[in-house]
Amino acid sequence: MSFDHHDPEHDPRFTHVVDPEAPPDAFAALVDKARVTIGYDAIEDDAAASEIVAGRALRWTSRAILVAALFLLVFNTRSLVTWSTTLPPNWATATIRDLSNVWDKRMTEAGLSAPRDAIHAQYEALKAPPRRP
Amino acid sequence: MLFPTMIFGIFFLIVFAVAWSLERENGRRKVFLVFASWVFYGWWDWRFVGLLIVSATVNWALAELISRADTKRISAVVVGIGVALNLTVLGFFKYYGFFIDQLGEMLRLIHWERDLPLLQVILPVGVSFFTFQAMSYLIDVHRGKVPPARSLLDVMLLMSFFPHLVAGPIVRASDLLPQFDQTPRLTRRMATEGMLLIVWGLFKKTVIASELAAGLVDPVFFDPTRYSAGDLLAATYGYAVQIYCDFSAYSDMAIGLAALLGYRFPRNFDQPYRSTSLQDFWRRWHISLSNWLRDYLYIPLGGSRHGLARTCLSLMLTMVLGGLWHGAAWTFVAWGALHGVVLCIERVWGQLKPAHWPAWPKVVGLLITFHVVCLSWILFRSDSFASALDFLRGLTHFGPVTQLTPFLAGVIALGLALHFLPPRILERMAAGLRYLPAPALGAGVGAVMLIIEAIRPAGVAAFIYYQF
Repeated sequence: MSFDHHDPEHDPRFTHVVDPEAPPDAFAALVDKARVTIGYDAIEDDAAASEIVAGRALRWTSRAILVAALFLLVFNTRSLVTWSTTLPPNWATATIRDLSNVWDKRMTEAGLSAPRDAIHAQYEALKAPPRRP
Repeated sequence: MLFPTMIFGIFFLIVFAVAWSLERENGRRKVFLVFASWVFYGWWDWRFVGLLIVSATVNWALAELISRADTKRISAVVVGIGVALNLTVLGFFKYYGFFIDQLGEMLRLIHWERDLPLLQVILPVGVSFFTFQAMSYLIDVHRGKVPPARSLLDVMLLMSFFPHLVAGPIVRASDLLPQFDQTPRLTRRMATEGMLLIVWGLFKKTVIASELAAGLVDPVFFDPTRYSAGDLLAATYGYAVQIYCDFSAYSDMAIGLAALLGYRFPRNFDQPYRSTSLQDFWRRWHISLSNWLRDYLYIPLGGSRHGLARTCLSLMLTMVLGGLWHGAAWTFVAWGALHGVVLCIERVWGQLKPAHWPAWPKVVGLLITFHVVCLSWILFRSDSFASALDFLRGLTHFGPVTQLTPFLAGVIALGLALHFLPPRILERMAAGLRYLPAPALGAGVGAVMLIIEAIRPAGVAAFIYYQF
């Protein structure tokens, strides 16, 4: 079986290819489903199957990284501002600095910088040496 | 470009996206990764990208010659030339000033002072790592342990690959070249491990190591005569934790970044302060360097095959040269020599100890080993012998503790406690977290990074091992 000239992921015979990294219960269910619906022979080609699994893992990883990056972009605007002030001065970095400041202001107004500020304040209080009587 | 910075974060997101978009074109993917690595390296000083290119080209050509040599003798000559060339690069950039200073000092002692050719040589970041990697490649090809790389591109990527380029791990050709032959495949487990290692490294470097450096270690080591024994002892433990959290953080992040690009690097640290002997310590600390020194220095020097005296000699030479590898200063040589002496004592004791004597409890071995390592860190961290002696003298001067705060004591305790977590805990966590939906994992990683960003001190110092 050769898949040289098309993407196996979109091959209808591989719709239910078993992902060995899926949760254990789903794994067993998918194995049964795959055997019944597409026939055991269809997953003989390990290379094609592993390509599908790798493709899914890549999309899963990309989504996770994207969500983490967006999460930080929304909640961690203070770091963006701090970083932008360290950039060497020129028209491009001035634009980045302005955008960072505006973005930080908007997120602060929406209350989204509050968690970071609260954690920071708590941590600084923890670091302060105890007052002598 | 330091790992824990915004600019590196943006750089990596671009590299990740482009590298995986070239998934079906392994050759182009490698070309892209080489260019990305040059950008990463050139961020410090673009002139040294040329050094990297020349070094990779020469080593690739020499490996080709070795593989085509008709006799083992010719191959040995070529490998000798290759090792000498790599050592010349390392010697010039790293040790030129040091040796000229020593020569000047010697001439002054014999009243034959001369004007020596002083040069202000800039040390290329990571030169010790990529020259050692190149030497191991040549020697492995000569020994028949790895076939020569299929192309110059593979050698270029082997030596330049940005996750390990400036501070290791020293990844061998046998580890990476087979991975370059095929298009990498990402698995959820690899990706989760990669993300956890990056976050974990970020915490160790930007929180633990930075807090200890700024609040305790740097001020105390700057002028040890101003502090009492309590502060000096705390700074010693603090530095032990700082250097571990700093260097292991770099390795963790390097392994994690490589994993996200589909490549596997070997582990470089394994809870070193739970070692029960110095030999055990070197199996857990900077594993890629200790394996390198074992395979290319200690064993060729005779290893443990020629009796106790020869074993001790080989150990001493290996550790002294290992110390010198860390930096061009006598304090590093003394640091290596101290480790060599204790390793020899362990060997001699292991052979001479009466069989019926009971073995020490493990906790005794652990405490002795930890304190020997801490003692050696004083030499490692001090700018000079005079400063190290001031520090050691100060350990007997009792007085009020002024620099250590309860918070910093807690950070030291946390850094030491990390060594008693269950082994391989990150791998086990990754095995469980890979079942999460991507948005949940992403939000979790983002939340932990937000906490780290909120508590880390402003700015980030370069990794300690960048200077080596």
